[in-house]
Amino acid sequence: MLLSVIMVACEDDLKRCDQSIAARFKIGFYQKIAGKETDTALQTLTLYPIGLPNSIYSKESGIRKALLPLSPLADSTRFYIRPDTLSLADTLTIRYKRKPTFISPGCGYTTFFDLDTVLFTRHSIDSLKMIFKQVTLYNGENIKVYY
Amino acid sequence: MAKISKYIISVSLLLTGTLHAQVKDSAIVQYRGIRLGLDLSRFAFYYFQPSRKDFEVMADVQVKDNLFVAGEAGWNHTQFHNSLLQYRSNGYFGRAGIDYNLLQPEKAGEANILYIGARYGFGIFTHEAPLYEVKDPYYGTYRGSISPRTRNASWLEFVAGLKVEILKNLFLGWNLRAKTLLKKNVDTELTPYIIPGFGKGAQRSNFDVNYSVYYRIPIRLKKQLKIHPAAVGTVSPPSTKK
Repeated sequence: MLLSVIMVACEDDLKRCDQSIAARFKIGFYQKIAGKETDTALQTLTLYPIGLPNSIYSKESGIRKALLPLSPLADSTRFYIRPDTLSLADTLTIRYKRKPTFISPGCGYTTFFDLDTVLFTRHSIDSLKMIFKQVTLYNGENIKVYY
Repeated sequence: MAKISKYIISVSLLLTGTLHAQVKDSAIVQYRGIRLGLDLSRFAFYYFQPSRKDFEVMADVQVKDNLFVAGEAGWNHTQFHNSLLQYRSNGYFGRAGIDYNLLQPEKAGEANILYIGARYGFGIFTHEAPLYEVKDPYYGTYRGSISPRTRNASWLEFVAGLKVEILKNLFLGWNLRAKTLLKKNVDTELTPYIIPGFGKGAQRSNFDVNYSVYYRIPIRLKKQLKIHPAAVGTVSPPSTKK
C-alpha cells in the first residue's frame, strides 16, 4: 500500500508546477549626486516593451526597481521609458541571446537570456551600467539606469 | 505480493535467529553456481508509473565464504506528454559491486543470504523533447523542440536485502537501495526525467526497491570440513584394522 502511494506520488511531478517560470529583466533606477550613487524612486514611471498593447508600468509612482519581460521570440526587445510626466521619454534596446531552459516536467520550459548590449537614448537618462548579464529566475539587478 | 513479501521477511528473520543459535555442521557443501535473477518489481512499477518501462536482470556469484560479486543490467524507456511538454528517453544501465552475507550457512546446501553491499552504476541514454510549449503572459504561446542527445551518468549505491531459497535453486528476494549521483553530463536545455538504473534525473539521490526471482545454476565446487570449537580434542582418527 505504501509503495503504491509512493509510486503514484512519483508521477505527480508530470502534472504539477509549483513555481513561477518567468525570467524577468531587472532595472534599478539611480541618481548620482556629488559623485555618490543613491537609488531613486521615480515619480510617475511609464515603461513598456514597444509593440505590446499594454504598459507594464503606467504612470506608477515610487518605483525603484522594475521587472520587465524580454521577448522570447526575438533577439532584442525595445522599451519605452519615461520617468515622470515632466521628462522626455527614452528608449532602451536590449540585445541578448535566448536560452530555452528546462524547468521541470510539470512546468516545462521557459526562456532565459544572456545579455549582450544595451542601447539607449539620452533625453532624460544620464548613463547606464550593466551589472549582471544573465536573466534567469533568480537574477539580481541586470542594469542600473542613472537619471 | 504482500503475502509473499511477508513470508520472505518472516522466513529470513527466522533464519537469522536460528542460524546463529545453532551449532554449525561439521561438513558444509558449498554450491557456488551463478544466480540469475529477474526483477519483478519493474513490472509493478509500470502499473503505477505508466510513463516509464523498465527491465532489469541481475546475477551474483559467491567468490568467498560470505562474499558475492553481484551485478545488474537493464533498460529504461520513458515517455510522457502533458499540456506543456512531450518527452522521450531510451537508455541502458549496468551496475557492478559486491554483497556481503551476514548469515552463516547452517547446513549443507544452505543458500539463503541476508546481505549488505555496494554498487557502482553507469547509465547511458538518449532523450529528446519533440515538442514543448511556453505560455508567456506578454508574448503569447510559443513552441520549440529539443533534438535527441545522448547523455550518461554514474552513481554509487548502498544495498541491503535478502534472498531466500523457496525451492531447490529457486530464490525470491528483495532489496533496498540508496543511490547517490557521482557525475552526470547534462545541459540546461533538457534535464533527464529518468536516468536508467538511477531514477529521477533531477535528484542527486534516489531510493529504490527491487523484488526479484532468481535461479541458481548449481555448481558443486567445494567440500569444506568445519570443526566446532567444543569438539576439538574429542575427534578420533578413523580406526584402522590391523
